[in-house]
This record gives sequence, C-alpha cells and structure tokens, in this order.
Amino acid sequence: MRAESHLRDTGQRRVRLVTAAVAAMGAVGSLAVAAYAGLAASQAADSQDTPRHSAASSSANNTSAASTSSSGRSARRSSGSAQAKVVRPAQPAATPQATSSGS
Amino acid sequence: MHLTQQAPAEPGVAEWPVWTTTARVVTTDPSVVAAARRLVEAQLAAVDQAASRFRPDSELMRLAASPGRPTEVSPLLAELVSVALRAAAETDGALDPTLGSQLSMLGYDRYIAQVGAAGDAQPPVSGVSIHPRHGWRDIRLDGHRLTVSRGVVLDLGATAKAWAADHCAAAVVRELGGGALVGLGGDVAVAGTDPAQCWTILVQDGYDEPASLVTLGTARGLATSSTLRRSWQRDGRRMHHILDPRTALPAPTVWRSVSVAAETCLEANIHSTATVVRGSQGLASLRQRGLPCRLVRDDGSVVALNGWPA
Repeated sequence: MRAESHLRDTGQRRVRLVTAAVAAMGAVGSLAVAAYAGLAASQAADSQDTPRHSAASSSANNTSAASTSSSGRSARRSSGSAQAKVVRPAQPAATPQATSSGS
Repeated sequence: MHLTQQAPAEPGVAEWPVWTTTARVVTTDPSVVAAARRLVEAQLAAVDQAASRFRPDSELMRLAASPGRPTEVSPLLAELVSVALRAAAETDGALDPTLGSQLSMLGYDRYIAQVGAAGDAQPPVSGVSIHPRHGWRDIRLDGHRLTVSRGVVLDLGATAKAWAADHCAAAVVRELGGGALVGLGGDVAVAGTDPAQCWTILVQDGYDEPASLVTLGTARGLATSSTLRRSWQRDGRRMHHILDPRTALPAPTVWRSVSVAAETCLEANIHSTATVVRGSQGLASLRQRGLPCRLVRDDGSVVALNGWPA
C-alpha cells in the first residue's frame, strides 16, 4: 500500500516536473519568437525609415533634429528611396505646373 | 507605313484671383481647361457662400444670429465644419475653428488686402478681450444641425481651402476625365492621371525665399502654411493669420513657412498649419507621422524631413 502510494506520488511529481519543464520550454520558445519578431520589426523599420525609427532619433531641438535627419539619410540610403516615392526631386530644368507659396 | 511619335500635348492652364490669392487649374487635356475652370469657380463660389467670414450674407455669418441653438445648415457647411472638427481632434486642438472672433478683434475682419489701413485704427492688442472664450469642443454638429455658442464666429479658413482644392481636383477629373491640378495659393491638389513629366511643384514662399522644385509621387496633396502671408500691422506689432489657440494671438514665428506632402491636400494643410502653431515642438509630430515636409526657419535656414528632397 505504502509502496503503491509512493509510486503514485513519485509518478505525479514526475508528471508535474515534466509539465513544468514543458511550460518553461514553451516560455523560452515564446521569448525567442517574440525576440525574433522584434528583430524582424526593427529590421523592417530600418529599411523603411518608419515614423517609429524617426521618433527614436528625434529631438525637440531644431538644430539637432535637422542634423539627425541629414545623417540619417546618409546612414540609411534605402530609407530615403522608400519615402521619396511620395515626393521626388524634379529635374532642375523642369517647368513647374504650380507654385505652393504659402497662404 | 510611317509611324510618327507625337509629343504629348502641353497641359491646359487657367489662372484667376480668388480669396486674396490665385486659383490655378491645370488639366492634362488642354481642350477641357475652360470647362475645368468653370467647374472650379462654381465649387469655390459655393464654399464662399457657405463659409466666408467676410460676407454678411454667408451661411456661416448668419449663424451668429442664432447662438446657442441648433440650426439646420447646408450639407456643404456641415461637411466643412465636420472637417474642421476632425482637424482639431487630430491635432489635439492646435487647429481650432472657433478663433474667428479673435482674428476679427486682431484686425483680420475683412479680406486681407483691405486689412492694412483699418488695422491701426482699432483698439491696441493689449486692450483686446480674448478670455474667456469657447473652444472647438463646444461646437455641436449633429448631422446637419449645428450649434455654436454665443460670441463664437467660426473660422474655417485653415481647412476649407485645402478641402476645396481636393474636391475641385476630384470634380474636374470626375466630370472631364484625364488628370487635373488645382492650386489655391499654398494648397495644391492633384487627381486622375499624371502628366508625362509628373506634377511638378515649385515650393517657394515669395521671390526671395528659398525654393524647392519637386514632383509629386504618391502624394496627391501639398500644402504650405506661412507666417509671411496674410500678415498686417496692428498697434505697432506685426500680426499674421495663424493663431495659437492657447493664447489667441499669432503663433510665435519659429517657422516662416512649413510645407507638407500627403495623400490629400487637406491632410497636408492640417499638419503644415499645426506645425506653425506648435513651433519647435511641431518637428517631433511631423517626424512621428512620417509625412515628407520642408520647414523654413525664421532665419531662412531649411529643414527637410521624411524623404523631402534635400
């Protein structure tokens, strides 16, 4: 009787240990997945110069904000091209169809 | 058989004065430019009748006769007020459409070309009563029923002109096909197909100001807000038309002009004007939104952000 009880207790402990180990592995796995997702998102932000990335390098100071922008362009050449599709530099000889002159 | 390649036709252009600025319509098909102008003139006349602060017979000014009571307004005025309220919410109140009375008290109570002479005859700025006043959250718009508090005169200028540019460009393309550009001073909207060389815009706030020549890619709107334009002297002080809702006075001139490109001219204008109001704090917001923009500091130096061509 005692032996059976001992075996049952031991078995239950093993089951609990195995369950805890699996849970821990799951947590580690989740952390790994989250870390990978974070890394992927960060890489995506780098390639697109997203607002999140820009905000990280922003400053309330005008001068430093401007210099950050300039250095950011040279450091992440691909980032400028993604945004440049919104507005592009015109050929110097191009004739403008309109002037945006403030109002 | 000979195939001759014809050069694309030059776009058609029409230009005329309106709202103390210049309206410009450009159509990729030059044969429709006259019809396009008529369409745009009709749309602008409707906006003026609905929302002008300078016409006693406008729907907006007649609202003042029934303060504090829900008033049935036209779908157009309801739309313009709705747009202004969305802009106020989106900018956390940096754009506030309830500043019409304050602008009038500061001297901007008529077309800007007429303000200079009258401005100095008015009470000094220090004597202007600006508090307490109502803000944009006090406006009630339920469908077409609009309630405005006593003493409040709406000023929809910040958003109505940009909204009009968007809608005029869309209307021209809808009715006449092809591609169209509509410019109203600083507010430029395009719709439909692009011309062969894309839409090319000169961004320059006056002849002596720094210039930037750009073409629009995915952007369909470009707006420039300026503290140089629509300015006047009052009580020995230089005034301009972009007020800071926190003080009800002209925003400090950190930026002489701010240009923003966006999906619509309205969106571009909301953020260019809000940046003028926010001063140096406005940079962070522009960076966060990722809208290509160009800012000219008060000393004339230029900041280009978010992919605006350097």
